[in-house]
Amino acid sequence: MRSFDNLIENGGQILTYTVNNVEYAVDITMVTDIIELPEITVVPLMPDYIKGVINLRGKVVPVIDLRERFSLERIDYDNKTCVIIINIQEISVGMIVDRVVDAENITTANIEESLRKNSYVSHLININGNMKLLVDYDKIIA
Amino acid sequence: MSKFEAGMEGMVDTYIFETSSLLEQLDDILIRTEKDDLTPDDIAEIFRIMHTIKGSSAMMGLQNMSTLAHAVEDLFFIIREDPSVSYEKEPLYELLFAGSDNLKNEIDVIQDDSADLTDFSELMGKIRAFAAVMKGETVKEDDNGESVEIQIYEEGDPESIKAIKVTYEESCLMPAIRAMLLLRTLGNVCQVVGTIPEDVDDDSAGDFITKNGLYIRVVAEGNEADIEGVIGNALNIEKFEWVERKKPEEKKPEPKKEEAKPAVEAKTDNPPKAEEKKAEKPKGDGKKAASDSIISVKLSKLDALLDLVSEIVITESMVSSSPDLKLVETSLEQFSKSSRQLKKLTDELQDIVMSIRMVPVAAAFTKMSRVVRDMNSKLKKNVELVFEGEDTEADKSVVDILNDPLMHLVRNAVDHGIEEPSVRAERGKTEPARVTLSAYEESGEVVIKVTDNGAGMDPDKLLQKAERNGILTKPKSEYTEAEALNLIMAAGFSTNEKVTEYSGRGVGMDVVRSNIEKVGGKITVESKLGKGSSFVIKIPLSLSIIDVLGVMVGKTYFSIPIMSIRESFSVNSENIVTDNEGGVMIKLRGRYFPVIKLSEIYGIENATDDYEKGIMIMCEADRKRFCLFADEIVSDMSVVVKPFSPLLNRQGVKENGMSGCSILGDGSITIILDIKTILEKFL
Repeated sequence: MRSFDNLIENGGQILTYTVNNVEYAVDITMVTDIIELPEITVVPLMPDYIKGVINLRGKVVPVIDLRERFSLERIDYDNKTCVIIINIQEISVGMIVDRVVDAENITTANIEESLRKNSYVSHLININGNMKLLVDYDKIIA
Repeated sequence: MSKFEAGMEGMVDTYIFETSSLLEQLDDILIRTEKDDLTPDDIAEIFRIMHTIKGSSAMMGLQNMSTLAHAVEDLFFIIREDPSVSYEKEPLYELLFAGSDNLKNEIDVIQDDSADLTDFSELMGKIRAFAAVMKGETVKEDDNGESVEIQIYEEGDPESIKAIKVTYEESCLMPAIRAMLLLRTLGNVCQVVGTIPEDVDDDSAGDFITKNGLYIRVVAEGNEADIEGVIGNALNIEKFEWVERKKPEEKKPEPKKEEAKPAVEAKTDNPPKAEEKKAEKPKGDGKKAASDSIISVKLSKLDALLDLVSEIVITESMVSSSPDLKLVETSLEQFSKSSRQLKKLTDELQDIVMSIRMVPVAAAFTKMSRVVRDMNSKLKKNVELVFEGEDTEADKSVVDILNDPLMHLVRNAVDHGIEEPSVRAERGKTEPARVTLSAYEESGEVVIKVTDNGAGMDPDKLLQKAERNGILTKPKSEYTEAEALNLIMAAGFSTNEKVTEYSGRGVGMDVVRSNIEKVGGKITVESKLGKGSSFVIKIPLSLSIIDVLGVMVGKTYFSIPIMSIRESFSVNSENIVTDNEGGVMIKLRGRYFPVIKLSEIYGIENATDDYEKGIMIMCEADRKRFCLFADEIVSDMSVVVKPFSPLLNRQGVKENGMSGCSILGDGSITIILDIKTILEKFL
C-alpha cells in the first residue's frame, strides 16, 4: 500500500506547506509532529539532501531537506523553517520545509492524478482553484 | 472473507501467540518423550494443551483447528483414562507431529488473508482410526445419524411446564455457549426448570445439542409468546418447536416445582461464570506456579517504555547539570543530595528496563531439535544436536531474528554437511554425527555458531562452482580461502547438485546473510575439508548499553566502542611517517601503525590537522592494529545503542563504518563507529 492510497480513495485532511513558494500537501494522518528546526547532527557521507539526525523525544530521526530532495536551490533557514515529522511505512522521517501553511479537508473530488510519471508529485489537489501538490513520500525516502 | 467468528478479530493476536506457544510446548514434550517414557504428567499436559487449543480455536470460529485438536485430545483421553492401553509409539508420534505441524501451518494460514483454511479431514481420519484401534474397536462411522429418544417430560410435571426443542444450525460453532446465553436470556421472561442435556457446560453438551437439539423445560403460564420471541431472536437457531406432551399423567406437582426453582437460579447464574472460566483457561491450569509469575507483554510496549526511560535519564541529567544552577550562590546541599539519589534511581530503572527485554537464546535453539528430529527420521543420518551456552541472553528482537537463519543453517548442516553414515564409516569417522549450536557474548555482540563435524567444504570446488555460475567479482586466483568459503553465501549459489526437500535451491544462504545483515549482524563461515564447517553469526545486542570513548572531530561527536580500543596517546610529529602514496604511519615502540584521520574519511570541516594537537586512538579489529586520529577525547561513558533509521541504512551508513547512534545526557546525538568496517573500508 502506498502512503497516499487512503487519502486518494477516501479523501481526508491534508497539511499543506511550502517549498520554494510552491504549496505541497501531506495526508495529515502521516504527520506525527511539527517542530521548529532543532539542532541537527550531521551523519557523514550521506547524500546532501539528508541533513543528519535529530533527537525527537528520545528517538533518533533522520531529517531530509525537501528543497534539496527536489533539487532546488539551497537557502538559509529562517524562523519560519520547520520540520514536519511524518511516518512513511513505519519509518519516521523529518522533512525540512520553508513553512507550514494550513490544514484543510478535501474529498476525492479535489484530487486528480498527476500525469508526470517521473516526479515526486503523485497527485494534484485542487481547492477552489488553488493547486497543491501531493507528494509521493515513498519516493522521497527511496 | 473473514476467517474468524464475528467480534473475535481483536483476540486474533492473543490467540495466535497463545496457540503458538502451546504448540511449542507440545513439540518440546514430544521430542523429550519420543525416546523416553511418556509419564502421566506428560500425558496430562498434552491433553491440556490440545484441550485449550480446541477451546480457543472454537471460540475464534476456526472449526477445522478445533476439531483436529479435539481428535488429538481424544487420543490422549484414552491414554489418560487407561494407562495400560497398548499402542505403537512410533505411528502415534508421527500422527502427533503431523497434527502439531498442521496446526502450526494453520496459524500461518489464518494470518494470510489470501489463503483458505485447510481441510484436515484426512489426518483426522487417521487419528480417529488410531484411536479406534487403541480402544480395540473397528472404525466407527462418524455420524450415525441416530437420534436418541428424548424423554423431556418427567412423570408428574404440572401442566404449566412445557418443553421446547431448539435445533441449532449446523454451522453454529459453539452450540453449548449459544445455549447458555439463550438460557440466560430465557431466564428473564420465564422460569427454566431443566434442560437436556442437563449441563450445557459439560464437554459433551455441544455435540449432543448439534445432534439432537436442545430441550428446555420452562414454566409457561400464558407467556408463551414472550418465550417464542426470545428464542426467535437468539442467534444461529435453525428452528424451534413446542414439544407435545405424550401422555399427560396424574401429577404430583408441588414438591417437584419447589425443587425446580433452585435449578433455575443455578442455571441463570451459570453462564457468565462458565464464560469467565473459558477465558481464563489457557492460563489457569497447567504449570501453575511457573505461569502465574510470568506475564507476556507486547514488545512494542517495552519499546515505548525504553524510549521513555531513556528520555527520563536524559532529562534527569539536564536538570541536575542545568546551567542555571551555576548562577545560584548558596551551596544547594539538599539539591545535590536529592539529585544524586534521583540519578541512582534512574540508572537502576534503565538497567531494569534493559534487562526485561533480554531473553535466553534457548528459545531459538530448542526449535531446532524438532528440525533435526524430522530430518533424522527422513534422512537416517542419526545426527545429534548439541546446545552450548543456550542461556546466553540477547534482546528479544535479536532472538526472534535468529529463528529463520538458524533453521537454514541447521538444515544445511544436516543435509549437506553431515555425510551419509556409510560414507562416515568409510572415512573412519567414529564419532557420532553432530551439529552443535553454541552461543556466547563477545564484546557487545551475541555470537551464535552452527558447527557440524561433517564433510566440510572445499574452497576450490566452491570457486569453480561460483565461476560456472558467473558470480565471481574478481579473478579466481585472487580469492583467499576465507573469501572462497564465503562465496557460499553469495546470491545464486548452491553446492548440492540435487535439490532435496530440505535445501539446495540456492536461495537459502544468501537470504540468511541478508537477513542477518539487515539487523547489523555479520555471518562468516569457516571450514576444514573432511572435518566439518562452522557458520558464525554475530549480531549486536541491538538495544544494549555499550561502553564507549567519546571523541570530537570538528563539531561531530563520535563514540568508539571501548572493546576495540587498545590505547590512546598524543604524538610527537617526529614519529609520523608518510609513505609515497600519502599514507600516514605512526611509529610507536619500534612498530609502525597506519593512521586513519576521521576528519579525512568523513569529510569533516574545522577539524585539527596538526597531529601534535590531536589525539591518536589505537584500535584493533581482526587482530590488526591501526590508529584513528581525532581532535580530542571528551569522555568515556556507557551509551544506549540506537540503530540507524532504515532510511540511512539504505544509503549505506553501515558500510561507511557507523554502526548506530546514541543520545547523550544533554540530548545531543553521538555516532557510534564500527572499527572493523572502518579498517576494511578505509585502510
